[in-house]
Amino acid sequence: MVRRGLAAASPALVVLALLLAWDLATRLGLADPRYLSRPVDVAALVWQWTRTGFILPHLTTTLTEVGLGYVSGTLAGMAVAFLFFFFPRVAEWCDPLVVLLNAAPRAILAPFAVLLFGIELGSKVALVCLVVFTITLLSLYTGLKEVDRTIVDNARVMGAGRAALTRHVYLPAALVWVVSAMRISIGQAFTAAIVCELLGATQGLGWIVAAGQSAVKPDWIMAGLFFASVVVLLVDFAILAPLERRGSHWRVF
Amino acid sequence: MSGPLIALRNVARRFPAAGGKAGFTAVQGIDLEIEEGRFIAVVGPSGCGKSTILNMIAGLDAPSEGSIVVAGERVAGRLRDDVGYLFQKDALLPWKTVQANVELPLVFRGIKGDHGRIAREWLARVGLAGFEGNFPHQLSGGMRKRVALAATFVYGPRILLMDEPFSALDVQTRNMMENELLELWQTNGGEESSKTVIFVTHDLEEAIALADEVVVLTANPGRVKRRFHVGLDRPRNVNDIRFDDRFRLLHAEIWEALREEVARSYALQRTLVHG
Repeated sequence: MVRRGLAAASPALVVLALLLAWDLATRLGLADPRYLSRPVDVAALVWQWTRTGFILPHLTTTLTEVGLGYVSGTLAGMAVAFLFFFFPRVAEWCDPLVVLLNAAPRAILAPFAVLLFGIELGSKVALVCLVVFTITLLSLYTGLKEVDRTIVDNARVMGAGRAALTRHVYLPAALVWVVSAMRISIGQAFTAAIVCELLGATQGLGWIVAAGQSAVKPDWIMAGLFFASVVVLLVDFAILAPLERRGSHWRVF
Repeated sequence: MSGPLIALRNVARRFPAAGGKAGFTAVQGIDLEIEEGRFIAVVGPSGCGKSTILNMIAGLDAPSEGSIVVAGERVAGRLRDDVGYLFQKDALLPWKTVQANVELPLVFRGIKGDHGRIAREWLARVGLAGFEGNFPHQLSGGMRKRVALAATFVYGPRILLMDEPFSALDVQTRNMMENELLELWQTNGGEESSKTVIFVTHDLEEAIALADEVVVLTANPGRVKRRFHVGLDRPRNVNDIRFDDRFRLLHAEIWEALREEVARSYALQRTLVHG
């Protein structure tokens, strides 16, 4: 009983130990609190921003960027994956491009996005969209090729043409990969938006982090990261993970 | 109509070498004629191309050589619309309810009428009334096979291709399904002429218990070795018929022909594995 309780509490204990170590390090002079801040200070700041509503416009800005880029990237990735799937020749022509897109560290395109689309919403949405697009495209294209042959043959014998196959077989099957791609890409989507905000923004979690850096306020950076992490975890926990669980019986590969 | 409903003439199917894999001849020199309304079982050792034959008759695959004629029309890799196909693996759509799965072929084929009612009737006929709203993963393997049967019978195909449909089921469920299949085939949902069935299996007892005729294929590459007429009375009960003397004689006779091929197939696989 005690052992089981301990096992359940262990992850929390690890986090607690790390926070304690951090706190001790700053108190014992091992680390400079001016550059590393203290857990208590960060917690106080998080509480203050929440209470005053200071964080709200920043959260909304980043969430809007991620939301728009996420949805458009997912839809574009789905469209191109289906295009590749139904026209393998096109997939062959585009193969080097896709390999390059996948291999390149895409967040590094952030300066380019800012130059092209400015420091407002556009650049962030574009970068998030690109990141999510790539992940969705690769995951879904691989997935579509693995749809169980028997299910496809069965539908064809029953009279399904290409349109009916797409609607009743491939699209529902695709949703499984789209959701798993969404789970993989949610963290990267926030990274892309925040990196882009670091380079130039008037609002957003990345702006907070950048402001914290230039004003040497490490607690701002930490608190900004805290909000970003909590949002990613919440989206995954409340939306994506349940979606994936619901679709676990849908797997046809 | 005069002549056989299905005729295979000198049919071969070769899979060319590709991507480092050696070429493979699944079947060769297949000659087979099947009269309308007959229940044919095809047996043969594994790898003798039984499924390939069904795929070619359905039009999912095309012969490399020879011709397949169904109802006077040549089949050449184009899907026929009078064929039903029951696969060994589950092929129901997991995101659709039992009811929607059975309605689907009616939707695909643009068949007029009350799809909901037609599907419900067929589900009742296979003993699944009350399960319309369930999803496939909520059903047992036998129940899923029943749904697949209903989804095949629902659009009234003239030809029924079955590829070891019950091989994944436990023995009791399997015997029950065999009896139900025979009953569906004989009553045929009130239609006039009964369906022509080609039932592929590796189980000789199942073949004899169900069919009017058993076709024995040779080891790879498959060709027709012999055909055996099964003169057992209908209606049959697959559980009882196994104890019939005529059944046992027939079984011994066909097994004699099949045994050689199974042994050859086994030797062939050993040489493939051990070089």
